[in-house]
Amino acid sequence: MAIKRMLSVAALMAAFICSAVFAGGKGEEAEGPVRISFATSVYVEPPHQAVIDELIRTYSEKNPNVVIEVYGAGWSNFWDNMTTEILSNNEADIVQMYPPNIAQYHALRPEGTFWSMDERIRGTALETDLVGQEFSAYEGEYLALSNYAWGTTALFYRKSMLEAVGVDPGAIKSMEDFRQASLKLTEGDRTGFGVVVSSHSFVVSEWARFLARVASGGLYFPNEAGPYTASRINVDDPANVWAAGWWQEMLLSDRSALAMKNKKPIRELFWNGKMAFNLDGPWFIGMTEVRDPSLFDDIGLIPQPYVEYGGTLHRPNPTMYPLVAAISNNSKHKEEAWDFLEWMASPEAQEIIAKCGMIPNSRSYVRDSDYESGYPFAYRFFDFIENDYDPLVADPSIPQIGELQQVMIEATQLIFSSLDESPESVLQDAAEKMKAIMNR
Amino acid sequence: MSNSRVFNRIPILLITPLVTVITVFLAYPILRTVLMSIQYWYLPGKGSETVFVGLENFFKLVQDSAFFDSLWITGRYLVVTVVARFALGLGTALLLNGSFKGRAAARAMIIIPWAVPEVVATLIWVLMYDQVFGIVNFGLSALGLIRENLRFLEDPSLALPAAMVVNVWKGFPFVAVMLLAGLQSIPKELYEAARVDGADRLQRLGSITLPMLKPVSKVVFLLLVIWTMKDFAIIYLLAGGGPSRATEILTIYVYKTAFRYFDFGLAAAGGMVLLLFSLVFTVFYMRDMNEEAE
Repeated sequence: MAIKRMLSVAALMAAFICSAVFAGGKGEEAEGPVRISFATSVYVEPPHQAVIDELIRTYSEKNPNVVIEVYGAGWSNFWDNMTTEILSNNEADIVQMYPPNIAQYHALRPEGTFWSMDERIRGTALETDLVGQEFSAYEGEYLALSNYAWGTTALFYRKSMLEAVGVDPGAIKSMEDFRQASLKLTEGDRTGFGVVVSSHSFVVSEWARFLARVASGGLYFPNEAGPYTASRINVDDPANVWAAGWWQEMLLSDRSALAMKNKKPIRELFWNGKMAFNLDGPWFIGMTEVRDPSLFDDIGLIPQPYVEYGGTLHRPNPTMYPLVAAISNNSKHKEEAWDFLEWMASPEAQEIIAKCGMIPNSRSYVRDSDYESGYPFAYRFFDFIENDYDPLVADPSIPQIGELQQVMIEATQLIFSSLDESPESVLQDAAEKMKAIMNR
Repeated sequence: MSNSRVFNRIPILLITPLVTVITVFLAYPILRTVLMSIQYWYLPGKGSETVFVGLENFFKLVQDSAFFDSLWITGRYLVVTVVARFALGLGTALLLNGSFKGRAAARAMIIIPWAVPEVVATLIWVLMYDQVFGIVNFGLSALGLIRENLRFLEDPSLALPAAMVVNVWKGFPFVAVMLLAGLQSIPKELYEAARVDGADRLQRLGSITLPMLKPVSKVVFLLLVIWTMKDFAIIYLLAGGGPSRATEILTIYVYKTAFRYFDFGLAAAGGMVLLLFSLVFTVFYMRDMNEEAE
């Protein structure tokens, strides 16, 4: 009898372990509110957290039958986690990401990872009203809806630091002007500018936004447009080689910029009045408000300088980055997830986004509300795009983009870490690797 | 009859949970990795995981210069950190084996680096190595050893030595504790006899202490090699394998090949090579343990 009991217990234990281990995906839910998981890479940053929490709180009040649960690792680890989740059929119902990520993660599953929103977006006001919506299509189908935090980059500066050394921010028109100003501002424990040089992807993006893509039009392909074939790889274009050499000299030769591991210490130095310039997007306004609103008294904003290359002036074309949200094909609550995303584009949600220090992505909201007078600082980004920048260029949305970006990270780390590295040979080597990837 | 059957089942029942866990979390992943290593498992290629490619991934691996670079970096990382941890651990054990005031407190404190969780310790080192705010630069500067702050984690020539320092700091207490236990098991009579024979401190160390520590030293050495070979967190958190692959040890190479280049087939082949290296040392370790048991 005792043996039978023991065997039963052992069998139960084995069954429990097996069910715990092999239970994949999400099981059927019992009666109760609909639970939607929402994965995002930006929740660890206070202003983003404030927006997301407030949006969910407001939506839940109106829809008590829907519970939205947010999770997400910090930016760097989020993407590896997402790969694992998709491979194990365990990704969130809603995944928030950037447009170039759509194709990469959609291709991880043969049948496609994300749900097509094409029927709900194409031909509707959402298609034309939301900034950056055009970047959310892959192979002619909309797979994501533009959210918020969209925008491009510009140069924030500390007024008092520039005044102290007699630098007129209005006179910084070209990158050469900027470099000279930064050099003048670098003395003792104060630095003009900070640049990320590490395995963080900003090692590529800051250089590309400021210089390379402005001069060459494209880092991966000409103008980052198709056809995306190996023969069109553009990384070793003479303009990109020149830009790499220029950036390398700024960092390692005249040292008018401080090389740092990630963006966090750069922002800290800027807020603490130890760094004069900070290249950032409109989200930095929200971050500064969280940090200390009185800092705005000493902060100014200018557009990115133009680039002189090959005898011509090139206007900046820095990447536009809306956060977009896709719905998983595996989700059991696609309709409810869609309702939430659609609501995020409503004037009510856009107002919340603006109040929390982020940039609303609905053109009609910005046009029809008192956004311009209520948020003059953030509104300047609209000005820059309208008057100072060329059409913005983003990384291409192709399945291989993750690999191409990794090659670029390794190449730029090498160039920007040592003066002994020749930009030309490193970028030629990178081009060969990229061609091999595109030929697979 | 029934009693003997019952008797035979009990050990099987008791071992079942452990076998289940090992099967699910160790045997299955290893077998799956073996399978992946002979398949074309390139994620952006739709449906590729069904294609068997034999040893193609292994051929590709030996043609990849990054793989050999990572082997070379792993080798240097392994030799330097194992030797340094052993030397530092031995020195510490010898010091702690003597009698002095506060010995008990010193013995407890020496454990701290080993006891602190690896991720926490490494993140603290990231802050300590910071070019602008880091205490390491501050200290070196205050001592007049450097004129300008060093970029420990951003400079390819400094990143690997910086990671080695963290590894040695984190690992030497284990060696110290193990060797201290070994030292305390050496009969005091041997030292007394040597003293009577006129042996000085160095001769006693060379003729008694080190030979008597040989069995425990072998175990410690093999464990250090096996652990270092599968080290991941320290380097991943400090520099992510960078800058420009300067700290890309084999585990990081495998991880990046899978999660950055999405080539799980090639990564699995790399993992197999790592497993083989580890197995060689594990066999030595097991043999040594068996010899001791006999």
